Amino acid sequence: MEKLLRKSDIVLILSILALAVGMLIAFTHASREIRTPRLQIIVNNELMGTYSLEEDQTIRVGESNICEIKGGQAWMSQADCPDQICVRSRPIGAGGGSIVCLPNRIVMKIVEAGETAGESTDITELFEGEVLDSIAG
Amino acid sequence: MRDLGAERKRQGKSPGRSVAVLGVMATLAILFGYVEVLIPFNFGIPGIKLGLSNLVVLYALYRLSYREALAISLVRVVLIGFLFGNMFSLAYAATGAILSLSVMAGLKKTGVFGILGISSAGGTAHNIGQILVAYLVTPSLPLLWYLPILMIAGLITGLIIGGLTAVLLGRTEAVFRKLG
Amino acid sequence: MKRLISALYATLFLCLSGTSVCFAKAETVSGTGFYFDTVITIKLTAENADELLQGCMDLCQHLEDTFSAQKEGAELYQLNHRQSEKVEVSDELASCIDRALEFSQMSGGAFDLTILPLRQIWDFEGKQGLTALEYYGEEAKEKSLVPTESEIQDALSRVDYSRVHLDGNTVSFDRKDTMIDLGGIAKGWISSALKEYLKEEGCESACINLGGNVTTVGLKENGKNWTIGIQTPFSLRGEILTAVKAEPDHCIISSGTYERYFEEDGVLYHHILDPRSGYPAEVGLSQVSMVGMDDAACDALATIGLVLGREDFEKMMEENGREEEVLFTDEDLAFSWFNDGGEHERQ
Repeated sequence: MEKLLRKSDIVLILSILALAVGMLIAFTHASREIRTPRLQIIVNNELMGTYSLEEDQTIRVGESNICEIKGGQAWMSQADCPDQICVRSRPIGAGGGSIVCLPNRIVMKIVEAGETAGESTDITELFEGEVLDSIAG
Repeated sequence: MRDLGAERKRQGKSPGRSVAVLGVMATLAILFGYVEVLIPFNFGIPGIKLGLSNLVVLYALYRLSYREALAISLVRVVLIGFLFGNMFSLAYAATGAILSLSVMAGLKKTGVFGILGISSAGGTAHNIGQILVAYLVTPSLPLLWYLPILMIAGLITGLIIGGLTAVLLGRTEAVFRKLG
Repeated sequence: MKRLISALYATLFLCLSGTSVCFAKAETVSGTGFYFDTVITIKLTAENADELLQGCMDLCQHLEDTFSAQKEGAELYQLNHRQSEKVEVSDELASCIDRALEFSQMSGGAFDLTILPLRQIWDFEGKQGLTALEYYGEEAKEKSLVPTESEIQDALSRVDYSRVHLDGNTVSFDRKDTMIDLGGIAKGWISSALKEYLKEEGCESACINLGGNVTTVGLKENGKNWTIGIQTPFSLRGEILTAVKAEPDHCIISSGTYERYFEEDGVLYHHILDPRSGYPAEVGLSQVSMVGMDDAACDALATIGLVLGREDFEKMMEENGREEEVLFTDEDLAFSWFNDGGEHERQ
């Protein structure tokens, strides 16, 4: 009375297979989206927006600052603050880092930076593209 | 193959056997679970097992009935957990076992599927249950990746176990008929 | 049979509920806050990470209300605008004043907590890197960014740490015009307090950047040391001179002339004032960086290093048996380590 293998079995097995493969494809696609480094601009502790580093763009932040993304790097191109420390900051990119305009409470931050920090003790490697956890100064 | 469990029910007899038979089968299930370590079935992915003890449970589902199979399954999960594992492995195994048996019993009831299909679905359900518990306990992204992989693994092991069970059912039909 | 199955279900349920209680998952969060006129960035890993992050920010707010000499209503401000010469203060303020006195004494006045009057006449606000011409424009012919000699002498007469006494929580002053500025040590005291708070709450991994003062709790989530860069003086913010792998719970604190300065008649005037002369210190160094476990000490010592200069500072460190590691950066950006046993990267 009980059969070993019927047509419905094959349908069942193939559907499970299809579901699993579908999930794999979906996950691969989604993870590629999540893992790319991106720029976050935070104003007064509220996220203003997240921007791709791959797309060259100019972003006006309020009336006071202008951020620039070009060639995978981001920096503050203009600010109305008196000390101009933000403008005189090194551009940040996929390696990570942040630029802050204190008087205007603006933070430019790289998220999902490459996780290569601390792997090397060679200072030159640490300089170029490796992620520092923080900078004292 | 004949579904002796259903037959006995129709005869008005309790489809179950004496506790002794159940005890023997539960013990067999535990032994199988222990012994399968000797069969190298590790493809480098942690959590992949042949699930040999599921053979006994599936066998019971066909030869006896759902209730007996459930009892055997739970006993083997608890005892294996206490003997060889810990609180956590018990939770994973239990969820997988319950989910898998429910799925298999449900599919079997429809009468539409053969033993290979049912066993494959059971294997898949077993692994899905395990990942579910793992995710509830420690939500982490890599776990989600495991899901499709373990689903496919469950399919394959289910097929193997299903085939073995079918052979076993055929060979032991005479024995059970004798036992009445 | 039914009872057996029910019993099994019950056991299973108990085991399952047991597991959820036993498991705890650590989370990593990071946040930014604006306190003490600067930015604080915290990255930490703990079970109740969000709670702890908020706790840190709340602590910062509370300490800002304690240590600010500029904010009306802050405890230190009130202390400086006191009615009587004997004032009872909070535990935190007392502790910080105590440490400030410790280093004022240790440095023989190169660090002086009563420097506030001097700091007030040298106003570095909003003039970063500018010349008088750039700042005043046409009026530069008559105006100067540099205070006059008499202004400086007036201010200096009020600077003397020996006029402040601390007995338990009671601060007493010998003169009415004595005012306290904890700027040179407060950030270190605060980062220590944050570290203590996090450790008490069971956090084992954190990195705090408090306006350029970096301190750590334990190691990173992946078990490696926190890697901290040291800013290159007079360069873009973010350019580093060298980097340090922080030992667990150590801090890296720098004091630099480049942080605040202006130019007049070709002379650079920076914010590291020598309390003994009234003018910016001239010791040929552009930065002194300290690495150690006592954040308040490192903060004060970094400033002292820039005022005393390499020789006198090394002597002071040895005489007082201090174990902190020091990185001296010259005006030409050459750097060298002291007290580190040869561990750190050479140039």
